[in-house]
Amino acid sequence: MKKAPPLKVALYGMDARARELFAMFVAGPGQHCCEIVENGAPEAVVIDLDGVGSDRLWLEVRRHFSGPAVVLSVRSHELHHAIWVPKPLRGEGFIAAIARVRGMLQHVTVKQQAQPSTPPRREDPPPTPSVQREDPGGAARAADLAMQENRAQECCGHLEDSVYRDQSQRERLFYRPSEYLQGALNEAVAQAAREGRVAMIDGLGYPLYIHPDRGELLTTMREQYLRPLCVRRMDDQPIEIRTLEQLPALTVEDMDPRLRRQDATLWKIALWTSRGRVPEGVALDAPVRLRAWPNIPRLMAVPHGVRIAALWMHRPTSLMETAPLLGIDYRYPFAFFSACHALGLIQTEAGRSPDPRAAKAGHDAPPPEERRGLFRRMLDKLGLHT
Amino acid sequence: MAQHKIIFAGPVGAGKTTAINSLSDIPIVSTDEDASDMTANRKPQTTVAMDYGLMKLDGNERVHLYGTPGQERFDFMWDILTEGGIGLILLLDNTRPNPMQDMSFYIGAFSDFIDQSHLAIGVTRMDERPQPGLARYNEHLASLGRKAPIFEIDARNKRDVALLVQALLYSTDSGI
Repeated sequence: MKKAPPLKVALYGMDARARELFAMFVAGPGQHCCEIVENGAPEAVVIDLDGVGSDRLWLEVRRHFSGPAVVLSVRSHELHHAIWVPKPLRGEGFIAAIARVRGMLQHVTVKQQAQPSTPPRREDPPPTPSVQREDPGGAARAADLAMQENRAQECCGHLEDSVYRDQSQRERLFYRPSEYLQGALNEAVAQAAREGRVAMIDGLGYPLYIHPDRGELLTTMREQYLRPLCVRRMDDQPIEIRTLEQLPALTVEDMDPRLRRQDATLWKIALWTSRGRVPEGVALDAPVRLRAWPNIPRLMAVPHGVRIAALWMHRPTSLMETAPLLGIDYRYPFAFFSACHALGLIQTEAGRSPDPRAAKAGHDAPPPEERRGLFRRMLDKLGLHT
Repeated sequence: MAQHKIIFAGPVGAGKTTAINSLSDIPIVSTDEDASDMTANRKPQTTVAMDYGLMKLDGNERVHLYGTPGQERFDFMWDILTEGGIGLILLLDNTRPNPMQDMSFYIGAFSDFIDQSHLAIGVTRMDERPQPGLARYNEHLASLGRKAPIFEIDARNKRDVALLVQALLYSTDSGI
């Protein structure tokens, strides 16, 4: 019997590393039962629902893709048109789920073929199959949107704009870095600089070493282990910070290269900790100015980060005004602020009223519409929309 | 058909030709020649007239990418090249003996053009020599009375170069 071609699937809720691991799983225990498509039209989606904000991710995917889904999770899920595969993932369980997806798709095709050949009467509602196989553009857009939202949530959390606008929910917009790993790291960096010695944070499972001069953070900890630590309060975590005469011998191969740069790691930790909030005490209505541009190509991307930086460099604007001025979610400038703040790039002009001239985003005299159009087309061409 | 241009400047070996190549839709037109003077120590071939690349946009619109010659004796070319440009991308090589002096020189040489347009600075080869760091570059730029994005970039990496151009455009108008 001829073997069925691999089922085309799009992945959601997985970062680059998880995607690679999943591809290896498909090629191995998964026996190539499916093929991962990035931009084409998927027949089904595979979604990991164990991440932060997975409820929202699920809804986002469902808004654009109504076909069958395979849900990977440690917890059981009963979701419409979805098959739950428990973690840890095993070859036979996943292959069986893909076979069931094929059955669902087959069922729809048969149902569609069984429709009467006479055209429906005008007043008949259009057929709405529960599984739509043909909408390549829509599925690709859905994949794009869901991936964008996933990345946005990873760095900026998922607070809705309404929370930022609601005075009664103001306290939700603030956090205390000192209650999290971010605070311990700030303290260790300061201690290393003050004493000119290597500072060490102990008590996290893996020690973190901060070099006073080299701008490096050295650890054998992996990034995926660090991230959940950032959202946990450190009250019950006995952490010790001390300085050492010299750095212990660490093998470069044992270290996660993604955590090596101190600036990039501080930035990332601030984003993961803040999740769209700002440190307690920041005045939301005071104009924000940047001392210097962050080194954006080497830092974790924040949606619209370059635009926000350009605005704050050229025309100090308050946190509350930035989002409506640029037409973006509030969580983006808030998260960007916290990351810049962690690197000492922020200068707030507390006590000063926002500049009333900041009614329109732009610097000096905004360029004519013709030139704006050119710039937009150039940004599209560069493949950088944020 | 609308024509626009971005100028790439900087000392010999800073990566101007490579950066233009990262963005260009056509094979780059280069006028590299064997260097016969002290620049040969840094780069066996050097751009004696200019580099040229092209970004093709929708609607037949084109953005010309010009790389200025790195050698100062060709600086008479610079005024001609910059006329009507969108902005200046200045690339500085962190392994050169005095990159701050390079910055001062190029910002001074292109000051009229920068006044009329915008500037973005990319520092290359920081992986080979991490010091001076970007903080030092930012201080020096401020001492020259200028504000501009300064990024560490690898001129071979299209995303790095594209982010620099993006920062240049948003510096002109963040409301795009």
